[in-house]
Amino acid sequence: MKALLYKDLRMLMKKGKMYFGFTVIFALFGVINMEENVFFFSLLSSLYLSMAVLTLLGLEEQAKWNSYGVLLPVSRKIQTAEKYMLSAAGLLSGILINLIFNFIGGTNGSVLQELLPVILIVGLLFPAFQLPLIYRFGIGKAKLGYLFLAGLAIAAVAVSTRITGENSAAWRIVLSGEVLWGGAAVSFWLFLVSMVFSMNICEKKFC
Amino acid sequence: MGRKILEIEAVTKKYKEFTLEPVSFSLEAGSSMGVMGAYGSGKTTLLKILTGQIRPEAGTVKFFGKETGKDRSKMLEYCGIVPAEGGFPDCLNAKEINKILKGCYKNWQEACFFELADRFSLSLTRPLKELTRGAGQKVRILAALCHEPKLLLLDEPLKGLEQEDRELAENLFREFGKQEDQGVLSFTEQPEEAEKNCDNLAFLYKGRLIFAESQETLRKRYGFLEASDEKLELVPRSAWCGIRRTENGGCLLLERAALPKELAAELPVEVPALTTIMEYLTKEAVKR
Repeated sequence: MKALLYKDLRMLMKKGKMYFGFTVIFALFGVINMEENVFFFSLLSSLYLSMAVLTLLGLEEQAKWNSYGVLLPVSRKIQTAEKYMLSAAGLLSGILINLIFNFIGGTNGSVLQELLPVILIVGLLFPAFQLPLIYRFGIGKAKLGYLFLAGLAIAAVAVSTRITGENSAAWRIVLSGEVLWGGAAVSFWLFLVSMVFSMNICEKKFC
Repeated sequence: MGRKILEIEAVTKKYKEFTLEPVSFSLEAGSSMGVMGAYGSGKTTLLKILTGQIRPEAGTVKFFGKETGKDRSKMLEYCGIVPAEGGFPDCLNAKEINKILKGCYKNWQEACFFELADRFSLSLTRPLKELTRGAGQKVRILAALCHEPKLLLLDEPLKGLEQEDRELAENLFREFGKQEDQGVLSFTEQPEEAEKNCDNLAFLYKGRLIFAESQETLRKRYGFLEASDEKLELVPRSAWCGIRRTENGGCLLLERAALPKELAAELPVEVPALTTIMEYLTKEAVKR
């Protein structure tokens, strides 16, 4: 797995510089006099690096790496798990960069603390839904599928907000710390389930 | 007889629109076999079965006497594979690829990689996309050769290479195939390529294995006769393998063993070209 991680990191350093750039820029926005936007910028910044996996998979698809990687004495399961690990590592790096910027910038650390479960939920659910779609249908179709799913999720939130009202008790419960951390734990579980699911897809597809 | 590196016994695979009919042949240590066949003949299906990418409906594949599939990773350690498509993303360079492969193969030979990269004039530091079209193929060849494999499985291994590199690759494969306990199984659409580089030949046609034997046996077995109708009729039908009618008679591919000795001496039977054997054994219209 170390060799594959090395491969992906080298590719990221060559093709994914913008992800590092955006992570730093948005983390910076989050701490420079933008108190009211810290939530948005920190969330965005933390997610960028975990999304870099999509670029890697796109490059691999272009090179038909899957047809080649399957002939290496590294199981498909490990090759698939490595992408999940990289995505998780990207998410953690994004969070770490934000923590560092917040610490240096001296901004209110509690905002990021409140934001952390939301970052984890979005950052874990994104690859949990996206990666199996990519492994099953290829990157082109998977993007469409994901847009559809994301649209569905946003519509569900919008409809429920309209029904219950923005400041309703229901939303206050949903956005309470305990529920959000519970959501983060469920997201992590879904992330692991998705990994096993993707492993099986790849095993059937390429072996 | 040498030790058998690879034994394929009655392997079959069915798809909706294609069936690989039972394929059986073996490869001895110190030899090479060229599996020829046009696009869609079943070469890739067979290669995928050999590399454990797909499971056959029936039949077995044995590698050094042991069935493959049970420990695929171990089998891949001992196989050097050059696939027809797929490779490393072209933003990587050969040096980085060497490091990746070093982490994948237990017996990776870094010195061998650098030496062959030098012989193939492959830049170590420039990304593949900045190099010639054959750079990716060179990397695949290096990857196949530099981890002490016992069996080379090559699918159109010379594709995309320039003449000089083709010759170097051919020499490397030939040398490899001559070594004790090593063998080469090469898949190609080009009969000349297989004829030039392999001791044994196999021919797949529309999912059917037409023959799999040594070049020598193949040439001894078949004869080619161009003659008038009267002379052709002298040849017993049991010897006919394929015929093409012409205005004055016809061209006949025949099995020498079924030809009476006195007739063999009398008729101008020639040694057929490989392409002739392939053509006459497969053309539905000219079958006996």
